[in-house]
Amino acid sequence: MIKFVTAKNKSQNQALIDQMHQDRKRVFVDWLKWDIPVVGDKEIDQYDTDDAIYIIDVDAEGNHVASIRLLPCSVPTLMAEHFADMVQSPVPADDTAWEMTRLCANPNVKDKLAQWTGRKNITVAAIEFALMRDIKQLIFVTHSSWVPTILSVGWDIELLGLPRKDGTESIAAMRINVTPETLTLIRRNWGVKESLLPAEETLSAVA
Amino acid sequence: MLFKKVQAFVDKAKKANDLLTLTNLTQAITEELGFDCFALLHSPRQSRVPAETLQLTTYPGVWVEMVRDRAYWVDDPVFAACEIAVAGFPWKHIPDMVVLSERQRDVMRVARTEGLLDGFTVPMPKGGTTVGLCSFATRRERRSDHYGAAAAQSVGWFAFEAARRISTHEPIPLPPSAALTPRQLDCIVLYARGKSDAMMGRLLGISPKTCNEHIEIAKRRYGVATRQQLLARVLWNGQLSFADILS
Repeated sequence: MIKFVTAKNKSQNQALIDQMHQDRKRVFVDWLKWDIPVVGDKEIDQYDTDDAIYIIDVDAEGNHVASIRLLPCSVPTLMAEHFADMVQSPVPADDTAWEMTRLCANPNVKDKLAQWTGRKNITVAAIEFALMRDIKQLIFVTHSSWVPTILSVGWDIELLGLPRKDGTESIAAMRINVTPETLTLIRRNWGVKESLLPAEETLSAVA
Repeated sequence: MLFKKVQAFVDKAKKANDLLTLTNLTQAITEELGFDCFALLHSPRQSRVPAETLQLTTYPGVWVEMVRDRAYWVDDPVFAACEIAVAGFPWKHIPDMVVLSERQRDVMRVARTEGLLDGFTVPMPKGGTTVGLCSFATRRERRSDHYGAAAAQSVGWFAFEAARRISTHEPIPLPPSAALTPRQLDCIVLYARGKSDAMMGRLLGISPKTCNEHIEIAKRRYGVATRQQLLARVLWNGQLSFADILS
């Protein structure tokens, strides 16, 4: 099940948000060894603000399966402040463009298929959210090794600039141009039959 | 600016509706980036395309035929390097990436004499395995060029995606993979590990003649003339993996 968590409903979803930050630490800091801020057992940075919207896939018990953070490009973003050198194609600094960061799956979910389903669900929900809010572009930075997989979804997607090295990795900045067809396409490709937009209680948090 | 060239290619590749158009577009940008020719192929296991199907290429015809006839791709060090690469790599880095067998070094030598002197390969990883690659080759040594590499990486990604998209509309007719028995596969694994029929027989507890028969029947089922071709097809179709042979 998908939940949208924002400043409005964060307090009601504190346990879930804590779990997400803990999983983010385990994935990005402990496993991927990213040099990013840590608060105790949680990974929290300067972009985890009241402007952030978290799209979270939760299991039947309400546990974190996978999540992503969205920020409008009208406020400071990782792309603008840390990856500006990668952006050779202009991105509007307003709320028609949003940045997606910290895509993270719960490492305790051993079933890789369940993790993958969680990732797909939050991506579909992000597209639905973008259409609902009239967002035209979703931008993100990814490891180069993911690019063929991301392209093979078949959506309207482009590079924001040339890929470059990042430590021992190679990374690419990308943009998804969101249209109603984008949703039709990923629903068909990923076998998602109906809307993944959450129930009213968390949907109203982003209204 | 290099990125502008890449963008122009991407825009055109997204609109291409047939493989010939895509080949021409890719060849044009290949030359703009300072390479002479390219090859774009799907990995055996994923596409179930037979070994002789190079999806798109402007490589010298002699080389393409040789790869096909001698099943050279099995030993192509570029494939081996793709399995461990995090991104595109210049061919001169391959010896630092993988320990090359004598046969693999030989493939590189032959490639050089056939005019594929230097190059850059973009691996296409998906779900923990390599589903294909796009290589750009030159007839002369290249200086290492950071931006050229990034541009080639980008072109490779979008050319591969365009080929995938077009191919789903234009399916290549495939000969079905032949049904092989577990015993036949045992014999092929041992052959691939360099065992003689006599040694094969001893390991499997059957006579060398029976081993030979198993392989002969498998060759007939695939309609190929040599054991090498058989091995290539069996690997390409994913009936055996490199891990089966190397482990």
